[in-house]
Amino acid sequence: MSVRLAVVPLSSCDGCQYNLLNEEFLDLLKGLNVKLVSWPLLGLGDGAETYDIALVEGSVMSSRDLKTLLDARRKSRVLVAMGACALLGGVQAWSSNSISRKLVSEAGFSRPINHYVKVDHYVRGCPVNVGEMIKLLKSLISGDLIYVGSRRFNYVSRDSFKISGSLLEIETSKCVVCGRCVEVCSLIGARALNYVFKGIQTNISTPYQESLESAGCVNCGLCFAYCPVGAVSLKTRTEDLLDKIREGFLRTAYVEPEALASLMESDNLELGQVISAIKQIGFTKVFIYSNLYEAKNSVGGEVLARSPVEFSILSKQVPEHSVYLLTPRIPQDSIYISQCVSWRNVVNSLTTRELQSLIRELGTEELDSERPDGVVGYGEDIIVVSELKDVRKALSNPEKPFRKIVFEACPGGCLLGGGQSISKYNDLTKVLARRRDMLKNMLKKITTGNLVSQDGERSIINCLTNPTL
Amino acid sequence: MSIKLTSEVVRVAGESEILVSIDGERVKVEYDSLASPRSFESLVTGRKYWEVPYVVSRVCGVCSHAHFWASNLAIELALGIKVDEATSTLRDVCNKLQILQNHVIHLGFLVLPDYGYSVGNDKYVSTLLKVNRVVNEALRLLGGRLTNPNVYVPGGFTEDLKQPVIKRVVNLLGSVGNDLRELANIILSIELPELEDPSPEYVSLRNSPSVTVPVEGPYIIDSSKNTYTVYENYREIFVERYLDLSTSKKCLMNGEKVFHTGARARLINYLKGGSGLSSELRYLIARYEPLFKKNPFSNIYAKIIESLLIYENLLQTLSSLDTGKLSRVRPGNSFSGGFGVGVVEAPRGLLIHYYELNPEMRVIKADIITPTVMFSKHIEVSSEALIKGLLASEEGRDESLVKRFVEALVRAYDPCIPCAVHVIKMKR
Repeated sequence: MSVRLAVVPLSSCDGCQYNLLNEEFLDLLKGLNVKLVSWPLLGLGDGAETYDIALVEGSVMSSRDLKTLLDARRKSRVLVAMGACALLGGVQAWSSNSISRKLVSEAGFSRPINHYVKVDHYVRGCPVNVGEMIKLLKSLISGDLIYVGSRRFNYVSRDSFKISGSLLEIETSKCVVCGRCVEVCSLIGARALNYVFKGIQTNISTPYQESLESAGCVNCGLCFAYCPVGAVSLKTRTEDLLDKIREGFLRTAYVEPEALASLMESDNLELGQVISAIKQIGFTKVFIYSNLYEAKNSVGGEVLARSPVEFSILSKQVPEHSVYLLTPRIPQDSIYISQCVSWRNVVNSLTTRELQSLIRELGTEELDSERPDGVVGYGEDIIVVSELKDVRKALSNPEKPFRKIVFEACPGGCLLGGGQSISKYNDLTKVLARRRDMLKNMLKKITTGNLVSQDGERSIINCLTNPTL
Repeated sequence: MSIKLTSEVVRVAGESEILVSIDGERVKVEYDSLASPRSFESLVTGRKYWEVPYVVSRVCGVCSHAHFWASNLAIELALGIKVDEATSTLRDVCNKLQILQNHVIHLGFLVLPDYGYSVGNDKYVSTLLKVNRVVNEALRLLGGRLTNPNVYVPGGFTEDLKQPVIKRVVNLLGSVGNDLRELANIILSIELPELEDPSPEYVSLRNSPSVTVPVEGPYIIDSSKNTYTVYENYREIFVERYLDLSTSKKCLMNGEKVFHTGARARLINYLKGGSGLSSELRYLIARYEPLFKKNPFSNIYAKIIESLLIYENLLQTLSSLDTGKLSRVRPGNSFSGGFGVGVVEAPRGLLIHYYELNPEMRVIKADIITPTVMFSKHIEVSSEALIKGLLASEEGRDESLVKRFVEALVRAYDPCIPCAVHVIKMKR
């Protein structure tokens, strides 16, 4: 794809254009794969094209000049003021000073082009300095030039460094400073990531580029889930775990219902197909297991943390209440597949996103429908909330209609957790609604005994009827 | 049959428009500038004499050396300064280099595409760019910059030019002789359209371009039939008039004769008194002279032959130039006011600068007549003749063909719109 360059003449002596018409400049254009799309001096027409770069020579002295200039601004991505006339109005701008004002009333006033339009770069000189112009074009096209407002070009670029934590890693060389990670980090209450430096050097970092945990990271993985360019990555151990599975050390998979619902939604699979796919990876048994089951053991715990993320947040935010972490109590030879990144530090675990990529590698074409080997896990008499203010509200409720409060920190609850699979839809409310439907259907099957016969009599998990989710 | 054509002629310096209206047998062509007048004559009014050349060289980036020299010359004459011969020669060398550069760019980039050559054609473009680069480099060495020179002021050169610089320029120029001849072969192999010049009046400075013009007036100007001695009477000879019902101001010889100036005129008049040419060039000029007198399209032949002539002349002049003889004269303290006229041959023809200074050495009146103003009427009359000829034939009644031929004719003249400081009707 070649860069489209236009030379736009306004009122001037045309000297700058004649200076560009030399071997050095034309060779440069050829070398940089630049296509001259409009240059009236060479008879190159314009028409309804767009330009990547427009070099404007001359000042605005008539409505015709203004029309040409506005047209060029609309069509071009980068507009460069070339030479003294475009920058300052040129010698003809003297017509507006006191010496000759009376004499030149018949002529229009000459104005520099930035009086009318936004100018991205300025190259000075009368005539224009061709060396400077070449340098500008080279930097514009090779991309190491960042422009700031209407200031003259400079060559300062952003630093690139790595921010590392125990589970996550951020590479700023890939970052586009969209700020989504900063937003979600602030939303979840960790505030580990923020903008650093100013202007063109704006970057995303922890304070003083220290490690994520020491900056307050709770390993929720939301930055990982929300990053559009893959600048945040998981320090993954998928290969190690996969080896252990193949060698038979890890034989059983305990899968969260939320993880299953997410996978079914994103890859458009049936529940039975997901179970079958997990077995294909190498597991001999697959259980549906929710760690909400552990709520019954939480003796004395006032607030229950669904994962270590919530535990870190609650122990800081509501220190007056006792917090109980719902640690999955699963056998040592098994693996816990969940929606949360943070379990990595506690048990053998895989995130849904990793499971998704493993399943996609194996292929989802010819999957049988299989039943899970068992279903474990219901909370009794619990309420699940997904915002800190609701935790406070529930705690301060004197009537206590429910015994236990479970906190899910991610916006939208665990169905949109940091380790969840990637949906094909961009609209998160739609994704959430679809996943919630899947989860409801799945649990209906479980409770009515269609799925596993021995699990017919348990009551449904309260979180699904919680309107705040 | 009635046709109205409007064309913004591209591939000329500046923006201009040609309007053609054909109504039965009557053909009318108007050539207008679309550029805003930049009123340089009023800009310099009230300014000190030494500011003037720097300002007026910005009239036109295409032939700024000619404007620079003409204004310096006029001011020197007004102040009564007489510069030495080496200074005049070196200024003339700069001007000739610019003429050479102009001809090469004009022929290569602007004219050749009319005759089936495309800029994508590698062979000729590389030759063209090589010549262009060398001439640019030579201009930069002698004139300080490619456009808008800054090396001399009224009185002489400000920079101490050393002999090695001259030697380097000679070496540079020596390396492109064959390329220039190659380019000449391409240009001279072009088949030109037939056209009879309706107004065969050609005006140029005597002995230009080969010989340096006199550094003090009056100037001797040759036309086809007469010889004029021009100084303060330049306004009587080059008269600007409103013609017909047009609002355009055109310049006429003696107020009545439409004339042409530029490369073609220079070559036609040159043979009257020129000498010291190589046999090759004398043969070329003699061979094409009848064509020059007949066909306005042959201006492009004239340009390339003149380029060869200038090239030969430059090598001769530079090899005998002694920079040690350059001296600078400063104006005296007592000055009681006066005027000066500077006439030089710019790339496109005669250029006249007139300045009147008051005792404080400030400009009180300025006047510039540029070549494009002079020959713009000639463009109109020869376009009319061209269209009449086309209409006589069957295939010539095609509108697009008429447009193509008229545009090619305008380009052959190489008008320069930025120069036209106070031409012609302006369209907003």
